[in-house]
Amino acid sequence: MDRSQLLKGTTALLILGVLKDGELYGYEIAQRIRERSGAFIDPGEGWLYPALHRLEKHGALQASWRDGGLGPRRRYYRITEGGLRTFNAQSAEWEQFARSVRLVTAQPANA
Amino acid sequence: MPEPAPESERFLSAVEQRLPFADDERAEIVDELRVHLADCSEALRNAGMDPIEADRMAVDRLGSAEGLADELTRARRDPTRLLAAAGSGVWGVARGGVWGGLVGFGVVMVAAVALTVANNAAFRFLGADGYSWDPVTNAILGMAVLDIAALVAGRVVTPTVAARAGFTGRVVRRVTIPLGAAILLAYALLIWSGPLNWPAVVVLMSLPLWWIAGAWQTRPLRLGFPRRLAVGLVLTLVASVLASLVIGPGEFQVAGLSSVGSFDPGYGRMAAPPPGDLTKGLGSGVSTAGDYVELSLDVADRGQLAGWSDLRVEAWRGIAPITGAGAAQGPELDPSETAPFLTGPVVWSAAGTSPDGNSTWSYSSPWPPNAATLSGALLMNHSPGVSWAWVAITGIAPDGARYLLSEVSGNQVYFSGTALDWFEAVLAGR
Repeated sequence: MDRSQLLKGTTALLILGVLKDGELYGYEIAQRIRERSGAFIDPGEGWLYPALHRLEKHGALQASWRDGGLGPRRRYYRITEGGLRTFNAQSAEWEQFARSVRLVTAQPANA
Repeated sequence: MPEPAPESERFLSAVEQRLPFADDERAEIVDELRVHLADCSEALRNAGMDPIEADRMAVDRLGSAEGLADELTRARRDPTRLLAAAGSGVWGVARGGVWGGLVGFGVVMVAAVALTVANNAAFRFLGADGYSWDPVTNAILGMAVLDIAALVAGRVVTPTVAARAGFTGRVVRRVTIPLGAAILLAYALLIWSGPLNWPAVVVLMSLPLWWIAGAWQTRPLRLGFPRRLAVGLVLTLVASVLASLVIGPGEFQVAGLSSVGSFDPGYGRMAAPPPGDLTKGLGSGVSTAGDYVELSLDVADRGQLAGWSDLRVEAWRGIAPITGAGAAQGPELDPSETAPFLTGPVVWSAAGTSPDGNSTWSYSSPWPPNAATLSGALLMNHSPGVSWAWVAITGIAPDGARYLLSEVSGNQVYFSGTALDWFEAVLAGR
């Protein structure tokens, strides 16, 4: 199965999922998703920034530039109240969907 | 900020060029991607990868520059941006228009001074025909300022709207060009009103073209103080003033009726002079009322014109005075004319008054018992191509010949109205 197709419908959920635990910058978000998925979700980061900017535009995220001490200035993303509600709704919907898929695929072939 | 790697920089440059946003917004997006590439590349190097290969791999993970730029563009577009774009477009037009108008005014004024000095020189040293500064010339100068303002306003608006809306300039100009051109075409055709001749009509109707030339450009334009242009204008002005000190002032003599002298302006072709027995009882005057030239003829005894027919006021096309050095010559009837280009009715009214009740004052009171005044008016500024006109009241005597009844009034005239009025008049053959 093409994982990038699966990813398309879940980008917001993945991003909001890692950001609900604290603010992160873009590269960290990609890394956190990769780590939490056991490197299963690792399609490259071309999808990440458009998704971050879209979520920011819709008010689910807030972004701010911050100096990184000795490192470069980075853009940190923080989930908003609205983003949290979106996450909870999408997460529940995803769970329901995944459960339904499992139910369908778990049926015996002769049932 | 980490040292940029060549592959990354090429990639970032390609993304930046494709992002249709304002400079600061574009720079912010690219900065974020730059930090990402540096982080990713560093992680790969730490994992043992060759630096160049790590840089290339980091870029590969972001996909194509075009694809990423397009996705980012789509992600950042929304209706509020379009609203902001419309607002910034209006502001851009105002800013560009004012800037262009001011610069255009400076350019046109200095050019006018320089041309006047050159004209003086040609008149004085070469004996060339002088050129009188008439209302149409002033109108053309004003139109030239408008043209420059439209060019700059158009030049500003497309990149400004594109940056705000998040669309490329090529897309935005599909809207800005027709919209602005339609508004300016309507303005040029229907709203602007004033003195016109063919060159003025051409300059006026070119207004949308100047806009199109400006709005076609998609690169941002910074409106600053035009230092080079200002220096050029000041130098031209100084040179013109110095030249005029050497040349001296202009000596144009536009001969009017009173200075015609022995020169025969050709009135005879309008009609024969009034019969001798009539002249004592006639006194005429001319006045202008708005766009009309009004002629009145005070007649001591209305019975003098008994049996006369087709009394009318009529205007004949004239040609402009010749003002070559030492050869001043008054305006004359156009030798090619065989009939008036405009005629109008005349009406009788109480002696010494025109039909609207104004005094004609051309005959001393008290008025004789049978005295009356004959008046007629012609709208003189709606005939394209007529710059001088001779106006008189004429009539056909019982002997069947047409005679001049009033004095012949010479008038410098020009078409005045909208461009649409002009085209209608041309099509109507006026």
